[in-house]
Amino acid sequence: MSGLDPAFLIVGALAIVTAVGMILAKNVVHSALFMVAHFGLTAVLYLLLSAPFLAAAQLIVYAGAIMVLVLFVVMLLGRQEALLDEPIVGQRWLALAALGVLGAALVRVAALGVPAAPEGGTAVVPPAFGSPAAMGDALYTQWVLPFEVVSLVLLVAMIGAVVIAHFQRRPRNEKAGNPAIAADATEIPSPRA
Amino acid sequence: MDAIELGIVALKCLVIVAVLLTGFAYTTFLERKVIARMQQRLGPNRAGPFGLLQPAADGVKLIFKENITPVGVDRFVYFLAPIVSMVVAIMAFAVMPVADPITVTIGGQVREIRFQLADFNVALLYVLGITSLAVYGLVLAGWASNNKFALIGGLRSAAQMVSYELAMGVALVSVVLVVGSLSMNDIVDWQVAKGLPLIVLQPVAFGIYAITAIAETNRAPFDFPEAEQELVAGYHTEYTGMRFALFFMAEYINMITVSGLAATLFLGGHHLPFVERFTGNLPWFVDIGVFLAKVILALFLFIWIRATIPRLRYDRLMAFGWKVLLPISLANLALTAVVIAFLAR
Amino acid sequence: MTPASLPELLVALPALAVVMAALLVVLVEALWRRTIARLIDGIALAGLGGAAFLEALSLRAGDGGPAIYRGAAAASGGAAAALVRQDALAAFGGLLILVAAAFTVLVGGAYVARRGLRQAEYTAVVLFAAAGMLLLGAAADLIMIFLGVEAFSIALYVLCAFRSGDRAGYEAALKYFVLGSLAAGFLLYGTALVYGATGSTELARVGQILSGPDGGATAGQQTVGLAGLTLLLVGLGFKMALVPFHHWAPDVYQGAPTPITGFMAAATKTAATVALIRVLWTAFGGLSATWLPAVAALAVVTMVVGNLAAIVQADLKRMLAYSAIAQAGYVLVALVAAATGGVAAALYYLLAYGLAKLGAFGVLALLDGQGGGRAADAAANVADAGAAGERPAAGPRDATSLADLAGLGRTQPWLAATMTICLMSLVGLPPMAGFLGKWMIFQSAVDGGWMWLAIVLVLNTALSAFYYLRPIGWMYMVEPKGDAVPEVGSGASFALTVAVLGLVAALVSGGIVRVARAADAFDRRPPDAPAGLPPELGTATPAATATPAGTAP
Repeated sequence: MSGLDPAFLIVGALAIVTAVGMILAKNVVHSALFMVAHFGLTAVLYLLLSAPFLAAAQLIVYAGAIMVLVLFVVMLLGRQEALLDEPIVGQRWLALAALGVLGAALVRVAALGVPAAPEGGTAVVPPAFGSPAAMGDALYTQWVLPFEVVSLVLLVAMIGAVVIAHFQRRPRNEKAGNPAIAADATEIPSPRA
Repeated sequence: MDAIELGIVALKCLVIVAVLLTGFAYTTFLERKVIARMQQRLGPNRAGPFGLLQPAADGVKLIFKENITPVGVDRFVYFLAPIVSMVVAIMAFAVMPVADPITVTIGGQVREIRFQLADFNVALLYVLGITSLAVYGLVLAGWASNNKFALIGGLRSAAQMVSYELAMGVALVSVVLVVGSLSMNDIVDWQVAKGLPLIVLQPVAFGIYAITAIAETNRAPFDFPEAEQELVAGYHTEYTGMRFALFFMAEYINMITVSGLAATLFLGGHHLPFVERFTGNLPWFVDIGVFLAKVILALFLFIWIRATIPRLRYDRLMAFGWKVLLPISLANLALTAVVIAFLAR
Repeated sequence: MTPASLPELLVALPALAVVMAALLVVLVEALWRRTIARLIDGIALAGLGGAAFLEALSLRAGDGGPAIYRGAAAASGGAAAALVRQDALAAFGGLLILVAAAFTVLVGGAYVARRGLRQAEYTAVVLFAAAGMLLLGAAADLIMIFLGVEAFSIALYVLCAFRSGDRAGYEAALKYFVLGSLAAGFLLYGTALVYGATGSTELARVGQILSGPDGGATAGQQTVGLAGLTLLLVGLGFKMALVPFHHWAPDVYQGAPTPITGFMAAATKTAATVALIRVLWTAFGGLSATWLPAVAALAVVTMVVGNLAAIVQADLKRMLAYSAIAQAGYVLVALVAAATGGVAAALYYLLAYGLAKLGAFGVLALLDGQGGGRAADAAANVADAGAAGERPAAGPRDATSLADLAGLGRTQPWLAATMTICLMSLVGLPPMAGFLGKWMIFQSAVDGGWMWLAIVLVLNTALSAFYYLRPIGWMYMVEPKGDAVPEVGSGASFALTVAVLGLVAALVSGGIVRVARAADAFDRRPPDAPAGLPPELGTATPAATATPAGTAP
């Protein structure tokens, strides 16, 4: 499907709008909702790019599981408005200017033109492209090592979460100065330079 | 896609919505009647013959009730939540095949009409993806209501649905492994071709699916998000009138959807796999009847369970999901994979 | 899956050995009721040693061409890209990472035990981090680079926050995590742009398309590719703590547990540098005329800012953090001069620098806890910290101020000597390994025609002498404050001895220089004028991209 497909453009524009909304929303839950919408629209983009499996996975994993957990945590924190102040004065205008520069660069690059198929042919979508079978085939043959590395990353994250969350609770009524019982005591912050 | 085809799609959409809404109404009626009988009561019997017009009376009542918006709600999310619930519930039904396709001639052209809104090669994943969105309605309602009971209901539903979705997904993967396709039609056709419904081959997967389906639809004994003894009415405590009705509808339509999914995946869909060995393929209106019968059977099970089994304790529910259902479904998946790999040699 | 993919996977064996050891540590911890510290150390060292042995093997077998893992060809067709390339460059970097990991396990074991933290998890996460770094060092594909970065970064975030209840550690972990995720985003965007320009994420293939005779890249492709390179540079520069992307480093180095700080300084920098070498010269070597000035400018800024900021630091860990930034600038100079032996110089320098940093942070880690005995000191510190709800805690705190070193030359002459040697090597004083490293960088820069860069390097070295020598003064010329004599565990002092001996050996033996030179023979795309290569190297092989799939070592 061509990149200039009107459906693609409309959905892409909506996706950008929701992404911006996610950043600008004052309320954390509204932010999360924008993000859910963004994930949904991204799934539609995948669908338009003939990758239905990716679209479904996006919906199930990101919209269905991860954002639910995010909402879960946000709700436990209670309803509070985020403070949208500027720690650095004028940083928004700077960011906007940087965005303009980036956009101009992008337009310039687009004007130079990148061939659709880098190796000189025309881009053809293989018949089974993006199907579950094709994805599984690629994941478990050519990309099996990266796939396993991802599982490693998740394992480390899990161990880390357990280690950090598992705060050691020990009697803490002893007086200061006894190193033997001090393992869980809050440390003195190092003086800043 | 020409105008006629577009019209057919629109018509299908209308039919699905109309049938689901009617189905919802009469599922509530069925539930009240069945539970009443199980409790030695008569159930609704005033409106119409055998009380058959009771759902209509309820509908009229809900529509004309005043909508109350409590103080301090997050208005946008408060209005959004029931809509999300309803839309998601209806969307999930789009890939359900309810009969064999028929060919008709319209305007001189032969067209094939499928009794299914859409079929694509990841239809099953689509259903899982859409149903996984159903939790948003509950969570958002709970959060937006500015009510502690509603909030706890919403939180519970988030934890519960995410936990049980996992076991459900893994159980369904075993089915997909056996069939080798994620398309609904392929799964049904496979059962017809082999002449036996998948419940025979995958009884464990069916059991897990049945349990998780109850949890996913927040039905007793897993109805924690709205456990009335602890949480008033849970996530929809602050909803009245038609908005409340939308949640109510969503719950029952979800029941119909998961029942339809059970019928399609495990019971041979709109076919009678074993019987059709002898009778040959049945005509489309029989197909619809078969499908309906299976769905109603599953709904009856839902109601029967609700009338029989008391609610679990919340921590038991989570422990059951993570420590029992998930390991079993994983073991089942591994076993299925090994057997299939062995048979493939 | 084709079974044939298994032997090929053995190319990644060093990393796999480390992962195995880590998994074993986790299992032992989970299954044994009482964990035995020595058993865990033993497993970890065995895994690291095995990996080091494999790396050494592949370093020796360099003549037969590097072993490459491509992944099995998918049934849907399409040529399999090289994912992992176990060449001399990977082996050299890998050995350095493994030494740092072993060091961190030993020194950190004592540190963790003293605080009653969980040793098994600590060891396992360090090993996971090391495995991620090994993969990054051997990555021949942008996807693998990203995954390697993620693997070790997540492990490091965890390690930063390892002291439970420690706010400084949590703050460090959070800052590192948030900024690190941003950097990961840059890496991904860069990868996407490069893929968009060339249709490949494989570094060698990208290099071929962007510059090779058969590539015929359009101006648009080259521009998009360079935009991608910019973003990749940001992502990897963040991990290396190059200057515009360095803001996390001081806080994180200061807040993290001291052994982890040493590990980050030595191993992370090595892995990220090796990856940067591959990205710059394998994938973008053909466009070097465009990006060399930018990278040179980055090197200058990094050196100057790092050194200037280090001078004004009162906290030792913070000072060493800024010095680490400056050191990254020196390494970057070597990368600019890669055509004239710069890669060998960078590797040798990373070795000298890494060992010195490990030694310095190791000494600090061993002194750790000595602050607990000085109640007055601690109270003063709390008063400084303000009323952030901190209670006057009893915990052993990290020895991080210059005052903590006071009189160390008298109370702990051995530790003081170690510290002195490490600091002098960091300055680059003539008898030390750091001197040889700096000399090699200087020479390669001069040979490559980067005279002004070499001069900036020398000036910065002079600048850095000031703050490196100050702690030495405190150790030998100031009276000790307390009467507590630090206790030093045997394993830890052994590790420190190894570090110092390594520094000496690196100096004495020309062999390491030779090995570093050999590691220069990575898969590089020469700049447009291949005449710039001096004959004695003769190792840059323009045809290396055509190397057929290697077999397992």
